Amino acid sequence: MTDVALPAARFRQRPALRRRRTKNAVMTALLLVAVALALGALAWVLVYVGIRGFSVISPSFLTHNPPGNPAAPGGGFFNGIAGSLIVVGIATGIAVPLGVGAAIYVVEYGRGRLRGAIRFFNDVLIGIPTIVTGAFVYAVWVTRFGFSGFAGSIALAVVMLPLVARTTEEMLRLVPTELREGSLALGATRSQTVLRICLPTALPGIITGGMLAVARAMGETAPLLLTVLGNDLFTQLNPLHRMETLSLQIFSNAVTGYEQAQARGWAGALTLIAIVLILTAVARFFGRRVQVENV
Amino acid sequence: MFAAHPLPGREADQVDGLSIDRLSAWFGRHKVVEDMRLRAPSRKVTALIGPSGCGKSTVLRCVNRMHELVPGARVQGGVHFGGVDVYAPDLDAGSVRSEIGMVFQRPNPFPTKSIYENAIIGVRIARTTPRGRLMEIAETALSRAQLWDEVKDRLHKPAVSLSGGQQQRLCIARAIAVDPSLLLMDEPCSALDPIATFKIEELIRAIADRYTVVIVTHNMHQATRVSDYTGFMTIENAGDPGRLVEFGATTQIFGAPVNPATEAYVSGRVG
Repeated sequence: MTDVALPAARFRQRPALRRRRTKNAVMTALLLVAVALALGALAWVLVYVGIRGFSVISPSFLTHNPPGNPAAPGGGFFNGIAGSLIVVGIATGIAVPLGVGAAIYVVEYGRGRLRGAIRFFNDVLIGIPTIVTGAFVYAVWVTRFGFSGFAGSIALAVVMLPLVARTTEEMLRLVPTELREGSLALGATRSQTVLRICLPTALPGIITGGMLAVARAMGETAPLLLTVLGNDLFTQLNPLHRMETLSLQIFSNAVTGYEQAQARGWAGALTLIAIVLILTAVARFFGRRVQVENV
Repeated sequence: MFAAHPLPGREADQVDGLSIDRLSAWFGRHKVVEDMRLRAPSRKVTALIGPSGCGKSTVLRCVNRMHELVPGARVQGGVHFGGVDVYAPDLDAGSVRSEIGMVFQRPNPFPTKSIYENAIIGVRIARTTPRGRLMEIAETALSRAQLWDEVKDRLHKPAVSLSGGQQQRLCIARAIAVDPSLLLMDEPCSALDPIATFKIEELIRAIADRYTVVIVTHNMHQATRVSDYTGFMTIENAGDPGRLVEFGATTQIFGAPVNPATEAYVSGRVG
């Protein structure tokens, strides 16, 4: 020990420390910029839609159909809102059980090739442009049975299925092996373990994934053009007939070129966002309730 | 090579308790246990000690047929409990596992369920008990696991609200509630602090008058504190299968080990 400099001085002499501190500051700044850009874009969309929509939206917007003359003010998107809820509701009823079932098979039962094949096709399905899905349903269903809300539900179910299957799969994978073993060690069968332990443990995540799929389906327009077709002026609640949906209505009103119709389009967009937010909040609330008190 | 030791009490008439004969176990092609022999007498605590990776846990998991759940895992040899072949083809693995309970290394209460639900879930799954008796079963099991007094006023709170040691006792209660005869414990205190460990050890001693207990531990002091018999397992080189080196009364294994490898391990010179 020939060096007798004070410890503090010695620390300050170390260049590595300063370099690391600079690097840390730069990285932190970069990450903050990324966060700001991502959140900023989201906030921009929400605020812009909010401003444009709020000036038009009113209780009567939610309970009336558009006026016969698209240039006229007033009216609302009741038929589209109701149609969206029905079409997406049916699609959810088809996609969620199938998707959750497929995920359970892949995670809890699947072995080898079949499991690999299911995962692969699931990924392919996620990547298919939804207009292609619409064209497919048009070809195999609409050409035989005509345009209908139900045809749209099938198309949306095909869009939702891989999303539900993928998120459920990921959530089931997060369930610790120890819990499965704990259940099996009590003499439970595999199916009892899945139903009583794995699914309840993964439920909040599955619900979130399901709601993402619902949100996605709510906004889908392309596959519905070829299946539901649209029905701007009338209320049609029977899914066996051609219907209106909120997404189609936003589109058809936006492309008219009439100022009043475009204003209704903005209000429709705001309604769409609100519906998705409300549904997500409700689903989360129930998911949490089920978790805490399933006595 | 370690010499095979004759095991105490291997007479054929002693059918109660656990006997493991010439057990070998594999994960895929890798043999992890070879020629394991062990007799764990009824209503006694038998400890399995040995260095990490010597196959202690695998032996335990062969006893209640948890080993076979791992894809590619394989077992050869005999495991009998109370004279019954655990691997008999007409025996369902589920019924084996409800007769032979297991407590794991880390407390694993079911996080979505309450304390009460955790205690009775095994009984609910078996669907043999009328609902009216569930509370009684929960109380008995939680009392035997020495947890009742601490949780009786908050049975419907989530199980994960308990401390680590309480969670582990809940897991013991959960296993006991199914009314097993044999309890396997796989390093049940390795994730716990000394006070929680002490409570579990006390509990193991207390339940030994009712249940046969086999406990895997790498804490030798724990083995001397809780067990009546001890088996020492080891591996010669990394990658070799684990074998039983010596088995005997705990006092003998720790006081007067016969095998030099046992002596080296229990005196703390290796492992």
